[in-house]
Amino acid sequence: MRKQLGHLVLAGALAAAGLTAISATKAAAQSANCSVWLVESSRFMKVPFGSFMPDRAFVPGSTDAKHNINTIDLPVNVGVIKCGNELILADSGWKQQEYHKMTGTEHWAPLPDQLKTLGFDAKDVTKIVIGHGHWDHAGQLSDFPNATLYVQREELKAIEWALNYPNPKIAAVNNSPGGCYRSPACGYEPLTVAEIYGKVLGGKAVIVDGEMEIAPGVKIHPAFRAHTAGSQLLEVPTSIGKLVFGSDSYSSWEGIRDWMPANIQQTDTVQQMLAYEKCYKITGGYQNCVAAHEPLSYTDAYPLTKNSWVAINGGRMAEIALTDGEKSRKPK
Amino acid sequence: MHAMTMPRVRMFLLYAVIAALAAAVIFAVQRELAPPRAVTLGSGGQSGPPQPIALNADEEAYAAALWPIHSEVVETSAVSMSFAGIAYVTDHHDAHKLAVEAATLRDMLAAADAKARELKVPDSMHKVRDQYLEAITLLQGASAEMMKLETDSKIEHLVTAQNMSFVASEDLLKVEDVLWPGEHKPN
Repeated sequence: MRKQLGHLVLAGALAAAGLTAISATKAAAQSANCSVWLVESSRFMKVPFGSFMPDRAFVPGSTDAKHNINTIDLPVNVGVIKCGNELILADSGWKQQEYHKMTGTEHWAPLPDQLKTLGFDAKDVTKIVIGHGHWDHAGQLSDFPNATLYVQREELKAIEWALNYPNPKIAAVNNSPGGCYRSPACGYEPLTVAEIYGKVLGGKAVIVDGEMEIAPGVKIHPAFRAHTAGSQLLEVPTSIGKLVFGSDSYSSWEGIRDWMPANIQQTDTVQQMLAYEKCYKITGGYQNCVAAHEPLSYTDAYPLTKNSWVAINGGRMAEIALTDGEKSRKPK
Repeated sequence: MHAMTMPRVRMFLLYAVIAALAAAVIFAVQRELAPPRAVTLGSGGQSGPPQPIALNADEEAYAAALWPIHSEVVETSAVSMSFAGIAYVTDHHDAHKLAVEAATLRDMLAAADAKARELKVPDSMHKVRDQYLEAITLLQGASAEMMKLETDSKIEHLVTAQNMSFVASEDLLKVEDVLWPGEHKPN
């Protein structure tokens, strides 16, 4: 009798321990998830589709859905990622009004103000992962004084190589008054590089060598030459599965879906295709790949971003995923 | 009296209806005959940013003459200066190497400054020219500040230089907006 009672007590204790272990594991998995929003920093207007994606060039009179759109508006999407006490930005847009005028963008608002509408403060941003160092993705860094910048060493090396190349046409930041012809230093404007330098000088930069986990489950993956020499992706665990932010390696979500190159700059299109494949492998498909300039962003046609609304100055936002206990920040 | 005005009212109404129908037909025919518009996928409806103001012939000539100085020396030097600092902090930590790089940039900027001052400047562009020269002077100052690191190893020199370089870059952007408004494209 005593022996049977002992067995019963032991069995109960083991069951309780097992249940506790299962709950702890579930809680740990949930706490490792991040909440994610997407913010439209600004929008390039009326960009010829063919200059964005050569395989979608407009053909007058065509009835093919891939060739009957002349121009598109390209959002500049910034990821806002909350993982526990970390507030991480994927890319950081830009702010100078001269760029706005010179590129004909609309719907711009300062990123700190946009974050405020989501209930976040600029000083709460702990990390900024720039997919690459182009002027429209690595600006506004000085507006986030507490954020540590993550940039690939390969990106910095390649820009330095270009600048020191003994041919001024190759070394030029801009080849002509009409813009740079996708040359090696194209897009790395003095002001943007000065911002990156400021973070380095302030001890607020991590120079990444390839892969790096920057928070539990939040991982940087290299995507060298998928857009620029040192491009990188950002994997984020969420309640709807893993997301991968691709900056301009994933300029177009349709491009990832249809295996078409997009936004060719210092790009090796083979590497861009391999970067697309990385998203398929990490997330199990293309639905959770987050594109920087997808024209269908914030609509039902890009389902990941369809829970959207219009915010400051007509710029759009989307709530993509929430962790357990995280309240929605979508306006009622 | 009333019986005599009613037919006039009816006639007037009849003419008005015929005129409206005719106008609708004319409008529809014109629309059908107009060339097809390309489909644009986008929001539209918002007023865009202010359009750049076209330069006159003299201003264009000035912009064209300044362009090679800007693109081949000044702009590239501004970026190179930041990179020299980045390489020092993240890689070699060699103050002498940094000083040599900064001196080279200073000399290149001095030559660019001299060439820029020789250009014929239209009256309307004096303010732009002054802002441009101010930017070059700031960049030269930044390179001189960076060289001081070799004498006392104080990182504050690089911080001061970076601030000067940042202001200079903002000035360059303002000048680019006037002289070369098509310079920047989506990247």
